[in-house]
Amino acid sequence: MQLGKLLWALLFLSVPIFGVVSFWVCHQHGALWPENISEVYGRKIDHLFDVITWITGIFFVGTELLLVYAMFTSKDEDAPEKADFVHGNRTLEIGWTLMAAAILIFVAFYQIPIWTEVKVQKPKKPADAHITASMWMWQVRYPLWDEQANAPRKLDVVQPALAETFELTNELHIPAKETVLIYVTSRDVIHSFYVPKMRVKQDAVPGLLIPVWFDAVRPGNYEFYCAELCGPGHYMMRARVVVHESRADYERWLREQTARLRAPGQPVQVMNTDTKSSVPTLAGN
Amino acid sequence: MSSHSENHGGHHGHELSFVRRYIFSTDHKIIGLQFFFTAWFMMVLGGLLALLIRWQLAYPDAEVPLIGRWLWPHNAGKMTPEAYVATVTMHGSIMIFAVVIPMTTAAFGNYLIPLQIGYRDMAFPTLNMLSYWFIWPALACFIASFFSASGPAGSGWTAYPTLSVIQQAAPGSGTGQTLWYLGLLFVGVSSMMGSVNYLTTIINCRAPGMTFFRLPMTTWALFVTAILQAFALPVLTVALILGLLDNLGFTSFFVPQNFDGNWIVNNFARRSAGGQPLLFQHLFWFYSHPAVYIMVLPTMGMASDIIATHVRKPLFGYKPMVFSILGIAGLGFIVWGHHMFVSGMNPTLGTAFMVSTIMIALPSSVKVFNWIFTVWGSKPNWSTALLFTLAFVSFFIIGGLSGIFMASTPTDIHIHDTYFIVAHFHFVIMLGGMFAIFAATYHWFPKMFGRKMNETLGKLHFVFSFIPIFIGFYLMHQVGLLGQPRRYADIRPMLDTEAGYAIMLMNKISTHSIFVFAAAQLIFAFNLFYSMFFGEKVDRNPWRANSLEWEAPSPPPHGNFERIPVVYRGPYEYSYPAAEEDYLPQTHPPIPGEEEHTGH
Repeated sequence: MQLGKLLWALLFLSVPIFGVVSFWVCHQHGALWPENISEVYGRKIDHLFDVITWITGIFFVGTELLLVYAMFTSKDEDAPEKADFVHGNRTLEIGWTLMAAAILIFVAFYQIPIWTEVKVQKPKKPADAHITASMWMWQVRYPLWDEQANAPRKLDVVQPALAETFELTNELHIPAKETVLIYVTSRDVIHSFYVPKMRVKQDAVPGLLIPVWFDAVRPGNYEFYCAELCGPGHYMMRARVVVHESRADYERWLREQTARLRAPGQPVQVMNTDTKSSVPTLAGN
Repeated sequence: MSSHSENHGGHHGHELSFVRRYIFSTDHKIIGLQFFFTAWFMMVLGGLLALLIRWQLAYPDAEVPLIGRWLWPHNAGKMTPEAYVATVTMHGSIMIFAVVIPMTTAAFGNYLIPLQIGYRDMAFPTLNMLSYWFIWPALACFIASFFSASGPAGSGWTAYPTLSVIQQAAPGSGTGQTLWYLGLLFVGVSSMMGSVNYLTTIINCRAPGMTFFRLPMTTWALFVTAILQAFALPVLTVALILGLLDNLGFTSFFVPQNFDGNWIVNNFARRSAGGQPLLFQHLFWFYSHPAVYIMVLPTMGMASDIIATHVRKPLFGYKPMVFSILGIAGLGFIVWGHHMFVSGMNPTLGTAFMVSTIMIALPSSVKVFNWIFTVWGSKPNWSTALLFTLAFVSFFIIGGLSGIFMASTPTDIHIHDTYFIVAHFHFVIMLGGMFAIFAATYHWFPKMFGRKMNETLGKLHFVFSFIPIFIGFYLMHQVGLLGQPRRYADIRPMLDTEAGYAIMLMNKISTHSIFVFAAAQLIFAFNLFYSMFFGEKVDRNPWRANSLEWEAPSPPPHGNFERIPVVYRGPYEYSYPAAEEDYLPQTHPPIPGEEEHTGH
């Protein structure tokens, strides 16, 4: 056995070993694994992630080990015989082509229902908020509370009316344990609305109004930030999602905000640009 | 570079002046070497930018060593966010358009195609020379942008509008961005000249007996790459010209009707006239996704040739290898939308792009299996070239498999524009493509200079490249999953999350690993230049290889061959039992009883 060959095979063996071990350590160690606070949409995405991780993981380890084994069992340089004179194997070629095709087709079709649910079939419900991204902040517009109807006013997402909405900067309030529907657009360059812990991301494109839906089960404050390069301040474009315990809790918050704005002496917040000039086109769906 | 001078193979009747021979040369080998050295030079620049990026990610609050005080005196030697996004942009643009594409298609393509098909030069030598000289205006634009008043382009190598087309949007969107558009247009002109030349040469100038299915994989890959370039480049050119016109303020192809121009500049709104930012993304990725294959296919071809030669065994499944290259190229044209799953493109369209993208893993996996089975039962010589090629295979497996996460529309939502994708494409282009480029350099160096590169230094270079680069980039998958976005000048604000400390630690490990990798490249640089002048002298076929380039003297004179070779078989007849040696050159007359093998 040639020593050099053994050492090279061992070096290449370190790839699957380090690959699997480091991944496993991260998976076992809570802080190194991405937290998911979504019960419906995010959970489905994570489930698909697990399925793909298993499939690609088995392929990764299998092919890397096959390569190492081929290196390890290759003939020594000073061996008397020549290398095998083989040009291919029709059965093997057809076999692995069909196997790979079958697995890939499975992966492709397995995920179609998930994609349809998280991105194609918009939930039938009124919009909860409207986000305008701009360099380098998020302006979130909510419907005011309608005391007579005892419900939020209808949020006109194409052109949020100043009289029926109020605005917060860099703070998105949502109720827990239900599907939240918001619309994102941009005022200047392309931004991207990204909440890692809810597995949601959607580019905010100037001129387009794009619906996003997601959910969260655990109340609390979570980071959301911009994921599309939008200039030097890109890294500062960070904000928070405030998840309220329940719908009732969220509606109480909406009522409070409305009351505060309606209180005498309180100036009504307005967007600091002329909304008439920015009527975006409704995208998709 | 010039140990030969007298023997012109009877091709040129007169002596050429130094300038005509080495500077404005029409010889494909000189042009190849010009691209070769130009690309290595640009790689040093792009690599230094990469080190700046890594420094900033690991030590966002520390002074940049050596150059910090000089470049950013007003910021206590720390990198500014403007400088960071410009660094990211120029690193990507330079590495893709001025390093990897010129290195694979132009340097090795020029050098190898006529030699491997058995011809004296390219079909259009003057056009070939022009293709080299058109790369210089491009590099001049890239380099000049560093000296423009507001700095180089800062909208990423993808230059998405509206950031890239509104000069007032960001510092880098002014002159720097204009120069970026111009630079890329020049690169495109250069590439187009190269690709029509390659196509014509490969179709028309093959030596007698050199059928298509006797071409070495390198030439096959370069042939298919040339087709990709010829069809995809016009679309990029359109996107760049429209973007340039927008950037200069004449038009608004990519600026929407209702764009709130007042937000950026008071009088901007006047030229808003119903453009669409997503249009640029479609046009850009229609070229730039095939561009991934333009970078990777030639390295796959070279890897196939190098593996077969150095393991002394026929390439496993020659025809499946050819068809999988064609498959990758064909599918490569209908997958561009996978860059746009969360862009606002109609999500139903995303499903279609997802299916085509997933299916492109099929020809890729066929290639991987064939490489592994080429090594199976072989007799490797464990040269540096072979080790780098095997590393290319090993890393390409990772890059290919991590691609499935991105191709899958739902999982892409989470990892899009995070460090996961950064890890993925570096595993394909950097750890894959670059390692194949290293392998190709070690492998064809003896042909280029008549001397071998030092093997001991080569192995040292290999070990100190392989381990750190793997660790450095593998960890990026994890920080990406944890949500670290790309192109953030400072990721520390994420430290308030639980994962923040881990993210920071992994970034530091990545940075230090990549610095070790960078240091190892000094070994390579020394080896390259030392061996050029003092390396071990070799004859014309030091690897005992079969393909035609090894029939020519090393280095080949103008006109390449003493006489045009005649081809009797494919290039991979290694270890033929009935042959005396363990190789059987393509020009060796047929052995009685020999059959034609092309794989199954």
